[in-house]
Amino acid sequence: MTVKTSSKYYFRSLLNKFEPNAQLSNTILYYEGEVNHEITLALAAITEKHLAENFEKRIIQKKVFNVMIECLQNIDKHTFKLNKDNHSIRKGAILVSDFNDSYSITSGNTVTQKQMNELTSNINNLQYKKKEELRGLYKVQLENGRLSEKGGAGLGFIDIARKTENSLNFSFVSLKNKLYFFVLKIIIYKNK
Amino acid sequence: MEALIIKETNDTPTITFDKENNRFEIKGKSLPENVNSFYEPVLKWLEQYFENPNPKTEFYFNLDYLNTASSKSMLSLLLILESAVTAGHKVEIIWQYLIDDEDMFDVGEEYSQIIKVPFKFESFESED
Repeated sequence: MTVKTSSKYYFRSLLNKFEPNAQLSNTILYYEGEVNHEITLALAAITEKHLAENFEKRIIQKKVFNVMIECLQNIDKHTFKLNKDNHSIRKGAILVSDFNDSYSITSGNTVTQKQMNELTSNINNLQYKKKEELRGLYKVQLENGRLSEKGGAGLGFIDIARKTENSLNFSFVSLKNKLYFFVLKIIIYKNK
Repeated sequence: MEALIIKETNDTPTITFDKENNRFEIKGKSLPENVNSFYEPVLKWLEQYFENPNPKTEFYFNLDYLNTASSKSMLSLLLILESAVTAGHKVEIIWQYLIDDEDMFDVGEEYSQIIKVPFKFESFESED
């Protein structure tokens, strides 16, 4: 499903509402534009390399890589396509910041109202759950959930929640044409 | 039976399924663009192998990263191992993980709770 839209909005300014402390000095990476498999791999690999060069613990490098992959694959698989010049590509944005005690990964993309409702209920269902409960949900989803035709397994948010101790912050910004900008912010603490 | 050897790429793991040398290993990262097309031949090979397997099959998993889409395919693979056990074949899974990588250990532990195949966990030290 695609629609033409002439609404002007800026990913960076939308993301910044949720990450007001982001400055060039603490930004590891900011990207906006087409999100496909190659770009996903490249962005996650660049960030991982950056963390390795800064002697970050391997386990933290892996968590950041993991969360970035799931966020970007969500955009790649599910974002609403903006049709421009008859060429549909999937677009989104991601900001990775380095703060004193944590890394913050903020991703954003366009979704429909239906997707907004589904995302809200899926993510709310994971909030305030203990590690063991998330593990239970993961196992149920793994055993019973079927791969959707787009290849996702419905496990992405559960996976992020359990690997980051449940700090899934999300919000929606209303755009034109009944579309919404979905922002997901995930914190990974360094002293883990 | 011809061995199935697939070299590692930046989004798929190394697959070494070698009946003759009794070596079965999956190693590396798994986050392919099309999970099913990568794992289909891998699962097919295994199903064929278990029609006439070696007396004992030790299956090594040494995964650095598994995205959630791949975790379903990995479950399908493990279910083939479980069927083999049910059919009376001797199979053991050796789940190797980086010593402080709780996340990868957890993945293995959850599979071990879902799948009825003997699991052994082995941690290793980081190379860097």
